[in-house]
Amino acid sequence: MNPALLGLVPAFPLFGAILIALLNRKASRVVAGGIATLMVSMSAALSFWTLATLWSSHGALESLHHRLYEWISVGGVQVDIAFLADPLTAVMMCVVTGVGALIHLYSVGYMDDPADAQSTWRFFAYLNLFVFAMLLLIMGDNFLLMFVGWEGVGLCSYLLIGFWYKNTDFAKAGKKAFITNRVGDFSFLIGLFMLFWALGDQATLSFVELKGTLVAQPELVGGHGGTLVTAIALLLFGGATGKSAQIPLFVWLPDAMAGPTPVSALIHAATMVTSGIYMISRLSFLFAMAPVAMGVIATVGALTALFAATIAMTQTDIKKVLAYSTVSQLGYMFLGVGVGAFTAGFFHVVTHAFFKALLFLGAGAVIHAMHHEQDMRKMGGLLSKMKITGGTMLVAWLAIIGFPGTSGFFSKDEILWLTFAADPAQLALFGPEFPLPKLLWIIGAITAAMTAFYMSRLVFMTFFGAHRGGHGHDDGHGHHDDAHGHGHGHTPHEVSPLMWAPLAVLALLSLGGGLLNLPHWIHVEGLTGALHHFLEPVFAAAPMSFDGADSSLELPLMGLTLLMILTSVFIAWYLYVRNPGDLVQTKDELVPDLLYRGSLHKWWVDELYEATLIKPIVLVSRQVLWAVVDAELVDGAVNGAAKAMRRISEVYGELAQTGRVQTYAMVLAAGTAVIVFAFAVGG
Amino acid sequence: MDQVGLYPVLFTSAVLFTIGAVGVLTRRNALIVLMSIELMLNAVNLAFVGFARHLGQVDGHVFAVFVMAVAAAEAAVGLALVLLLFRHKATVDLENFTLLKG
Amino acid sequence: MLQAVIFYTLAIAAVIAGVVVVTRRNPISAALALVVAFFFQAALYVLLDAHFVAVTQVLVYAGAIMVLFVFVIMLLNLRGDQGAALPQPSARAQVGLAVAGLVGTGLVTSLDALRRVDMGPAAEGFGTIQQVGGLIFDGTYLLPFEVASVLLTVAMVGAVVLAKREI
Repeated sequence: MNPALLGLVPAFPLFGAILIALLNRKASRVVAGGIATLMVSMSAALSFWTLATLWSSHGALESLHHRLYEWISVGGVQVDIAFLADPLTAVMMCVVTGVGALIHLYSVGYMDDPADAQSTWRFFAYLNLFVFAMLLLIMGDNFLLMFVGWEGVGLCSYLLIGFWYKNTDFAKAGKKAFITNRVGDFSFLIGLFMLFWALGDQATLSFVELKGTLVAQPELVGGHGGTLVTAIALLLFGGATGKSAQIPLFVWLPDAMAGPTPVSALIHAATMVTSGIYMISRLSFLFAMAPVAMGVIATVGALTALFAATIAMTQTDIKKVLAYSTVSQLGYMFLGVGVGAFTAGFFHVVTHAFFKALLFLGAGAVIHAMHHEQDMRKMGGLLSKMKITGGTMLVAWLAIIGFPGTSGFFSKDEILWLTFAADPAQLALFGPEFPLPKLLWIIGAITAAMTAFYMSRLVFMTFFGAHRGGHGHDDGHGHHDDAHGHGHGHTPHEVSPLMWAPLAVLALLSLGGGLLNLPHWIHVEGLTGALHHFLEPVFAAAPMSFDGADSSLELPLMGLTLLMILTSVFIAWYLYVRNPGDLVQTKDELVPDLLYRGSLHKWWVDELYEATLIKPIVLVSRQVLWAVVDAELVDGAVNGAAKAMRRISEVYGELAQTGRVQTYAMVLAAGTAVIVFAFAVGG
Repeated sequence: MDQVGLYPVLFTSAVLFTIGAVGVLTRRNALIVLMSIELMLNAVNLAFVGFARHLGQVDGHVFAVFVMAVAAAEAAVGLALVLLLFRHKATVDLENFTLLKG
Repeated sequence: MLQAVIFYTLAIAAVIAGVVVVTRRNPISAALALVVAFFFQAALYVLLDAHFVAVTQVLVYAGAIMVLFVFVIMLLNLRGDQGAALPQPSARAQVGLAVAGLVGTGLVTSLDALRRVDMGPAAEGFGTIQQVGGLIFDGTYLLPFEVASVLLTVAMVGAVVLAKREI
């Protein structure tokens, strides 16, 4: 493949976005959606070609690189608009464009609400723009281009969360996502500045050059384990916590569900939120030099996974459950990259993209069929009415709980085992002797069991048992079904092929995604550890060891996890299918009230932030920054200057404002004389 | 021209520029003001050419040619404007035009 | 020595022609003086080895621009007070004279540092059309050159639109 074709990959969606924006209202849902889907599909074709080229070279071809033009050249630093496609990028490109194309196709069917007919073009233009920004983020060969993409996806996320901006809550959710991300971006930028500053004469923004410099001269950033490199790694990770919704910046993601469901699937499950993991994988050579930072990443990831899972247990909004589940799964990925299992973490990015996109799209289909009802308590028994959607959702459910054989099983299990086996010295958060890996494994295993419980709860409440909705359908979302054009009452129905076809493809991928990277105990020539071998050159500069545990423990531990998962599924089945009537009583008997309410209210994190951060900031902004600094000082200076000018003008105007051109020329000449004399005197 | 240095050339240029400035600032006839502007532009050209000769680089000549192009454009538009002014008030005396007053 | 004599003669002549331009009441006289000034300057350019600029000066200024001036003067049919001296300068004109004088003084003062700068012999082929053309078209000034052509087109269109009564 000619590397020059790399430039076309982001160009297609950009072109699509511009084209749709130019057509605007003239483009109907089908036209706009058709253009958008076509553009992303073309990018996807090129991405698969890139992947095939790299894969079939068996390591002979390290990467494809194409330099479009020189962007900035200052002193010794040169920044190009250039694209780099190494194995890591190629896999990510395929996920973004492949899953992206399916979601675009699905959206054509999903966005058929007549109330949105005037604005669907906006939706597809944003969606294409997002794919463009995401491709910049992953394909940029330097920090600056990555940062442009990084901010671009944030912008598109904001625009799409607030797509129904007439609903103030939705618009606020968009703002919350954007501002929370800004906090992370700020940290990311400072980390970047520090890295740049530390390199001094050798400063570069290109990833390839940076890798070479740091491998050759680790002393530039303080050497292995140095304070400087730890600080840089932690600051960069701070950026990742914003974009990838980790503690403490995860609060925006659940609210981001205000956007249309395909947006949640594409941006807030499959692609954008994984960019933090992508960034750490891309900079693995840097992070590997900072064991303390790695310990922090793994710990934050594990805690986020657990924390989000506890919240997901009690949520009743189907999308909120999925949102917290996403936060939790992202925590797994950070756990993976944190312990140094970059391939495992990234493998989970890929499989998660498949099954979580499927779950969101399936949930979208359910919501669509239920006429914008998102409360699971009003669903139930939908499997008989929506066989295809229900069937694919069951596949996704098996994948996310880690049922043996599905994609999620392999990726999750690999992360857990490598966490257990990681060398404690690599995670020197509490000293090299502390058995942090074992502790993290326990958290991870418990989270896996909780995941199995809440996902089973979701599936059972939605698809099994008796249908609880359909009567007195209270229309809280302002979309009345009479306007919906389906002509029948409140009974849910199967969605159109345009929507279930992507579901079917994603279901196949969720089932078979594990074949990408089979574990070593299933030996199939060419498939065992395939992704691992493919990505090996990318992570070669970040050697990690996983001999902290006896390898004979691997299968028993897996069995243990599996047992916990199956138990959770059984409990969920017992509570929600077998005896749904006793639910409230069982809950009251078994679960302490504080725990239940804590989970239901998301552990009051939003309230905590509101009280400790937002209120004081708003107060200081209102009382000091606005009332004093802005109104008094800034406005005073500005208005004072204007008033002074007015006084001067009143006097001067009489004299010079004659309206004759020569008077003005004279003032001009006098000014020139002053400058000329300044030259004459100053030399 | 080994005998004459850079100074006499620039001095001549400065004098011509000043004469042009006097014309622009004191004359009331719009046409003569325009001519004075041409005189100023020419004075600048002379300085360009002098410096080009001094530095041994013909870049100054290229600049002089660009100045001429701009002067030609300016003269064309300026004279068209004078024509319009004359149609408006049947005079080209700048004392009669106070349109710039706010 | 001979060159110096020629230079000073031409320079003084150019300055005198310039003074005549700004002191005539009749625009036609001023225009004719301006042509003379342009010619003397063209001669100065030749002395400074700026052959191409000299030719362009005669073609563009003395040829095209002056014709335009004279044409407009004729078109307006202005009747200057032939032969009469300029009236006593108004207050504003006096201020203008002072300001222009200031600019001139400043310019001359700032030139002081260059008093002793000599010019060596010019290199072979300096200032020829070949050299200037090469500099323009080898890419160094290609874009400004093309922009200048656009500017001239715009000016031409603008002049036509402004001056024509009806289009």
